[in-house]
Amino acid sequence: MATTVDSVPLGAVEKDAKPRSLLRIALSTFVGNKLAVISLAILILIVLFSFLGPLLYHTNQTATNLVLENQPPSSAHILGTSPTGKDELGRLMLGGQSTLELGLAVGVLATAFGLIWGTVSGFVGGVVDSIMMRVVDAFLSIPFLFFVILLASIARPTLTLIIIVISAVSWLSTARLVRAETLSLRTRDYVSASLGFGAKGSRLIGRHVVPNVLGVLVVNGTLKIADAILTFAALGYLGLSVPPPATNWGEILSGGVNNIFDGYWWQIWPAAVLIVLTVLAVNVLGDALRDVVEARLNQR
Amino acid sequence: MAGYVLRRFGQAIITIFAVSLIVFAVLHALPGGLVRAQLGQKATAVQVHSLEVQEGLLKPLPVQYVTWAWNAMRGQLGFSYKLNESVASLISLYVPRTFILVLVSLLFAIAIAVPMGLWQGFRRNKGDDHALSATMLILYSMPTFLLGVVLIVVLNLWFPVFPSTASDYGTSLMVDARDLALPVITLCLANVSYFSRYMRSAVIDNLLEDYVRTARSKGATNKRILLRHILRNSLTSTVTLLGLTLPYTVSGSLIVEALFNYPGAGLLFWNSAQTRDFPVLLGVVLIIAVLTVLGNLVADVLYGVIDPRVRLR
Amino acid sequence: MTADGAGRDLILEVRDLKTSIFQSRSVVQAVDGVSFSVAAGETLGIVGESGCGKTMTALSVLGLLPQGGRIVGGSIKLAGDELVGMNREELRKRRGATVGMIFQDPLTSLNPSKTIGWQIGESLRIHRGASKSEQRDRAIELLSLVGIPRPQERVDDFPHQLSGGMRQRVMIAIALALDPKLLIADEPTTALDVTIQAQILALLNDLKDRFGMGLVLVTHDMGVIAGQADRVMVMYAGRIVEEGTTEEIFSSMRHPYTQALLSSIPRIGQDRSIVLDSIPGLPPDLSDPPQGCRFAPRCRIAHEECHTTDPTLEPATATHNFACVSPVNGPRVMEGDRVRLGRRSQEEGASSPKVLVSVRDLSKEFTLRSGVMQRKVGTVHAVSSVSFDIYEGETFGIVGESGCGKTTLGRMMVGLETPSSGTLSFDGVDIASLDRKEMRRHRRDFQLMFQDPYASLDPRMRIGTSLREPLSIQKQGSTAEQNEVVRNLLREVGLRTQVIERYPHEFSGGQRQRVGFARALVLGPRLVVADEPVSALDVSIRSQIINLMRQMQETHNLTYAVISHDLAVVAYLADRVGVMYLGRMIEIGPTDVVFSRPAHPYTQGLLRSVPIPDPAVARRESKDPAIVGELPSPINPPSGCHFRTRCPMATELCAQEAPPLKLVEDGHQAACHYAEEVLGSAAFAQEAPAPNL
Repeated sequence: MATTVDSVPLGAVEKDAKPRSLLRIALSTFVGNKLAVISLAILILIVLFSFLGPLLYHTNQTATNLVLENQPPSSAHILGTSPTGKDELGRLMLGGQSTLELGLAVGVLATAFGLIWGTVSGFVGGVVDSIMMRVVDAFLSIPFLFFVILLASIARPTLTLIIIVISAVSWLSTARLVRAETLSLRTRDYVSASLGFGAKGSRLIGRHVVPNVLGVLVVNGTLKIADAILTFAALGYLGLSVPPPATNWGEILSGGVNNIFDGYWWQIWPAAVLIVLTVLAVNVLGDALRDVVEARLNQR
Repeated sequence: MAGYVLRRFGQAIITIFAVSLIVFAVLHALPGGLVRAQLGQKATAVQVHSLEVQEGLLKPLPVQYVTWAWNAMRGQLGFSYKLNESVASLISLYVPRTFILVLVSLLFAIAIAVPMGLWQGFRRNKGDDHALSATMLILYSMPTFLLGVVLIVVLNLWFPVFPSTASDYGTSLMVDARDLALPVITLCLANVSYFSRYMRSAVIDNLLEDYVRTARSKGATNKRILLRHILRNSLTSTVTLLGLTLPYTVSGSLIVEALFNYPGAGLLFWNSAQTRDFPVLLGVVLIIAVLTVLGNLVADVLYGVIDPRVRLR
Repeated sequence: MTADGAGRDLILEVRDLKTSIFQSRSVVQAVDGVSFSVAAGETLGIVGESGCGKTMTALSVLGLLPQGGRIVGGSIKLAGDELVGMNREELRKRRGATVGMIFQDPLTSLNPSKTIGWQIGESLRIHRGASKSEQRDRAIELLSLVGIPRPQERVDDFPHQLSGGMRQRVMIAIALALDPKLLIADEPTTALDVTIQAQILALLNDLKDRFGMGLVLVTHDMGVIAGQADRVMVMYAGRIVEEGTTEEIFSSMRHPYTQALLSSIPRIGQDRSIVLDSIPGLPPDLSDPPQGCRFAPRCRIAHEECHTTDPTLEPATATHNFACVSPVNGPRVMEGDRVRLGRRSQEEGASSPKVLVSVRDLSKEFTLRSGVMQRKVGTVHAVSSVSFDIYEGETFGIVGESGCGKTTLGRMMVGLETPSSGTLSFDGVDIASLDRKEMRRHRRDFQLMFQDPYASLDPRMRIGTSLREPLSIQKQGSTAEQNEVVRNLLREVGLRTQVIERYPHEFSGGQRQRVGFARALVLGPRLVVADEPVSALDVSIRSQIINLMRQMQETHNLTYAVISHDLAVVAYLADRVGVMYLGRMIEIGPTDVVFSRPAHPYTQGLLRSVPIPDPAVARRESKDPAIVGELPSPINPPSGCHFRTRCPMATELCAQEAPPLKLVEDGHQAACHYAEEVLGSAAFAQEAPAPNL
């Protein structure tokens, strides 16, 4: 006669730990990181500054006013005026709008395209994989700024075009990363198990591979935003900015750098601080998210 | 080792081929084609047609590619009507200067970042490590040109140590070391911020490895563990990074050259972009990309030298 | 230095050692008041399950504790010198010189970018300032001492160029470099195959005798302890629960934990119908240890007093101490609980057993490619020309060492790998002839149970979703019906149904394996291929899963193919067994026949290599390893019989001709030219089954 395997039922002995969902672990890891919380607050402030600021602080950003050029800060112009006589504070708000829009758009576009390219390459494998990866290699070995300037000099840059151009060089490393993750996920036992139940390839990608690369992808996407903002600033500095009256922080800085020996500090440092603060906050946030993702992976 | 190098070499050749295809594709995506780009918008239809015939642009694309690639390999990269000089001679003058800038700043960056990362990894989460990490993160979050501007303000405006713009070299290849100083420091600091972060985490990962425990069980001192065991194993991953980030460093050199008016390939490229001098743009992109692929190859070979698991397989 | 009762010098004396690991939110009392001593020429075994503090005890001696680890009390005297409180530099000078240490995983424990010669010579450089040539000479000397052939040539090799066994020999050479008085070996053979394990254990034993060292052997394997240790210390939850001579611990133990540890191990040759003992639950959380006896919550015979009184070590004899208020007396006799054996159709006198799986000349080759052109550089014959049948309702065991092809064979049987040639039919249907759609439908009949249950569950899916997945893939039933199936199965494998809301990381190893098992059964398969189903688990959990598999076989009419490197597990579970070597099936037959009268020299050697958890038997056996040498490369296997390079009986014929499987007696096949002689020689006389330990 077969008897029960366990005389003592499980769970009666084991401490009944409170179920901790992955989300809760993630949240507590994140909140535990003070720097990350501060960074998030800074980013929110910068968003408010750029998008709500112009509603409260009205400036004329369309007309060039040579009488008012290079004015130091005063009660009329809190942060002085630009080389073309526009209010600097208002310009910084405008520059913030294009910068934030671009960062987010590039982050999303590059991540989406990199995800598709990487999963297909990793999952299909074989010759397709080789070709797809050689394409990535080739694009990656063209120093991206040269490529971006080349593309930007063919057509007159608009914000949309610059977004597309920067995305075109940003998805490459994402695709590589996703492919590597896909390759390693493909050999995981739970994918094998699913295959053993009769699952099709599409289900494996949709239910197992994509959800599991998502964490790494969010981290990567965040860091892409930081890189995109830096590239956008560099393009602005090189004179490849958005058409006026829009502007970006790099362009503002570039105007100030031309006057660097005249001591017009208000044309340089406010823009500089905004760029560094934004990128720094996004980077710290990315690092914190990485810790969150890794903490989840460590929950074994 | 020979097999490994050969395999990497083969991959590099394929990548260069793909790069050439991309450049060729851009060439044909130009509005109005290369001829319009060369002759300008005012050229008549007859002028355009005669140049098209002369350059073989009416032949099928594969034939055009082969002709173009063959010419490129022989160093015939076209002619700049705007600078009135052949692209090849422009490149042979400007590219070596960029090469020097990139190489010197990379060497300095490694010389600084490796010991710093080693120290930070060893002192992880202590006060000095945090201070260094924070500094590096701020540097890392700075656009390269802003870093340059800060250096100009400090090392030129406040303490006039170095010149802020390079002198005109004309056709001379050699550059003045003093002119090189600020560009090199800028590019080097940008790289240090990246490399040291990576080195630090590689050291921390290696410190947790079992072989470090074995070394401790032999009675090895901390100094010995860091220099004889950790250093080499952490370097392998940093060398890989060197290859991967080379395109970024070269991109950074463009900014630096534009900022400091340093007459390298980046400045040539930027000036040509403003005048829409396409033969120069395409030529420079092609050569810079090929050099980057070769640089990557060197990093891969170096990796093989450092890691016996790659060397002796 | 003090001396022990036999007048030998005591090398190590530990008194009331307390080691804690300080974490950000809690303090784990990993070692809590442990005392022991080791004399010259003596082997002390420390045994216990994972997390019981045995490794921390060993690491404390050398001051090699992980981050946050600190000795908080007690005394450690090494060769008369007090180590606790000693300054770092003095302590460092003793590491490697007075004490040598060997770790579990020889690959990660060696520096990948230094030659083995450099790594062996390093201690000499550190402690004696030896020159390069002195280091090299000594390294060569040591390499030959630990049995590495042609040491002159190997000395400049890097770790990745050596096999696992060779690497562990190098680790031993490193530990011996300065003739230490004490050797500490932490699970030295756990990562190795059983034949290599026997070689390494024999080597350690020989070196200990030759140099008169004290040896501390930390292991979870009672078999290794029985064969090697002079005295044994059983640890549980950071404390010693029992200590004594090996004889005393194995034959007259007093602590219920020791007793349960021993009676939960399956043994070759035991009565297979008897249910194994098991220890329910999990070891306590050492950052908040329970009141009273720490084992009480899991103890079979604990009473009220056990939960309140903290027992201290009491002497049973001069050499034997235990910490228990209601001690047992000797081994537990398991006889009440029995389970019916598999292959019921035969037992119940059905005409002839029905063949469920039929494998004929099955092969699987993996092509190795290299270079830009991906040209073929070699072929690994993972499985070559294997034929066998599995009958409905039986358990078929497949044993062999790593790299023998057993896992590939198992994956082919469940359709996760496509055979290169040969046929595999399931219930009369040739699997290869099915199109994709039919194959998908057929998959519900055969399922794989994975070794690592964590890896086989998607970490982002709740248990309920993971368990329902097979049903939704196969589109069986409504969600409510699927949930019902899942809930019933969870109850059957001994889990509460509430767990469907949880994620895999919230479970212990044993619970996860129950979930993994339940998932293999969701589709109601007829065949379950279990690949190392218990290898990743602790001893006490192991027997729970084994018993559960037995029980479910009966209630669900399952046929099992159990793949394992652990001969005892297969011996206990399987009705028939197949032995594999380098891709070939070299012996097949009823388990009790093959394991008591092997007809292939490899099976014979394998059986002799298995450590037997009985000191009386282990001591009688010769200490020489039964199989010498290393596994040949599967890319370039030896001609003829693959085993001939390690076979004591090999002749010219073996090199020329590969022996086919031939019938040696009823239902017993072996692939050896001299199978009859092997069978007749009775060189391997299996001990009569031990009376129900």
